[in-house]
Amino acid sequence: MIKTSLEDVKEVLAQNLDLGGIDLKAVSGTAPLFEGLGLDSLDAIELVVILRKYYGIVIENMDQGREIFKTLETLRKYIEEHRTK
Amino acid sequence: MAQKWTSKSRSKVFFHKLLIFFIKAGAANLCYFSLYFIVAFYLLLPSIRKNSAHYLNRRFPSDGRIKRFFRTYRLNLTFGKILMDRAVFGLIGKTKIVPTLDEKNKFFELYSKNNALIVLTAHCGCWQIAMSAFDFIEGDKFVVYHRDRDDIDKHIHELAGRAAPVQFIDPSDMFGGGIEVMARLSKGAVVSMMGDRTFGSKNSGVLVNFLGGRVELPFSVYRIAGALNVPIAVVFFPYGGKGKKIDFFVSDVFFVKDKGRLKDSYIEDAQKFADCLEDFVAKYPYQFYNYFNMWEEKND
Repeated sequence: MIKTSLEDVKEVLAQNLDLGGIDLKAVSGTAPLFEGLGLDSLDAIELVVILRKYYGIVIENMDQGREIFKTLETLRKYIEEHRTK
Repeated sequence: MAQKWTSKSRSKVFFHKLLIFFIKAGAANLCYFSLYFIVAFYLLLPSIRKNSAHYLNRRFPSDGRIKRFFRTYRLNLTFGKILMDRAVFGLIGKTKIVPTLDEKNKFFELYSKNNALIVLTAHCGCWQIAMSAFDFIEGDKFVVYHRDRDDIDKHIHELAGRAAPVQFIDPSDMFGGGIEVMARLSKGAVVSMMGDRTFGSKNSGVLVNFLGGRVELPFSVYRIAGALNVPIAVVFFPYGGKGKKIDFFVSDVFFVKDKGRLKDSYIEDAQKFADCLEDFVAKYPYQFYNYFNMWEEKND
């Protein structure tokens, strides 16, 4: 397990997503990722790309994606537990 | 931009059931014969002529009203025949595209080398049975497909009461089907997508040139192909006539570079697809079935 902080995850997301001016630093870890940050289906593709590129994680299916992308904290936790780089 | 198209069939449940009844009763020829009159009747409806004109005006810009009327008839008659063939031959399990040995070898090699493949097609020719052409590839097959909730049109396997030969990915889920598509491709699937209609996010399209105007085509397929390094095969399936073998029209095969998330980076790839589609409609002018104004100005 590679320790991963919420700040690290937020930084990667901020670099790779178009958040329309939202300051991720001010967003709580429990905020819903999609509804809370106004992400859409194109951002979903980017999130999968980010997981592959930065953490070596491949999403196995849609249900898994739904669980992982619930909130920033679920995303962080999954990255921490499954990252290979 | 709001979604401008619908997948709903224009006919009523009763007519669908009647058609299936006649086909099952062995009166398929009667159905084909009646098609000429049914299409003529539909042409009396201004909405049918209007919806057909969006494409025909572009494909045949110099036509007068009479010529346009006959072309509208031919366009819709060909569409009717394709749907009829699908129903008639689907019910008895004969609707199938059989690629040549050369095509099989080409695709087998392409798939084997990359362990995944995106089949990019459009609403033209016999697109509904596209994936039956890839039976020879062992990987799981998926079609990205959205069916309107109250659409009465049925798949071939539903008509025949058989199990679906492919699995469907619904682009109307909250992630637009993108996560599922990427997950399946990562596991070695063949995924068929439509390159001619945008869906979901209003930012999902890029503007390209098509038939003398600008149309919005989806770009996420190129983003996915680039990110996963999966090849795209642009394939169309032209209708050759009642009960005849359906051709396998491989228009292009290409890889997309991973150019990041900005959609404008993928305009050239979407344009490549639009060029393939334009070549197809040049050769098969009565086999293009987008009954909405693709060339409408973007107003939001």
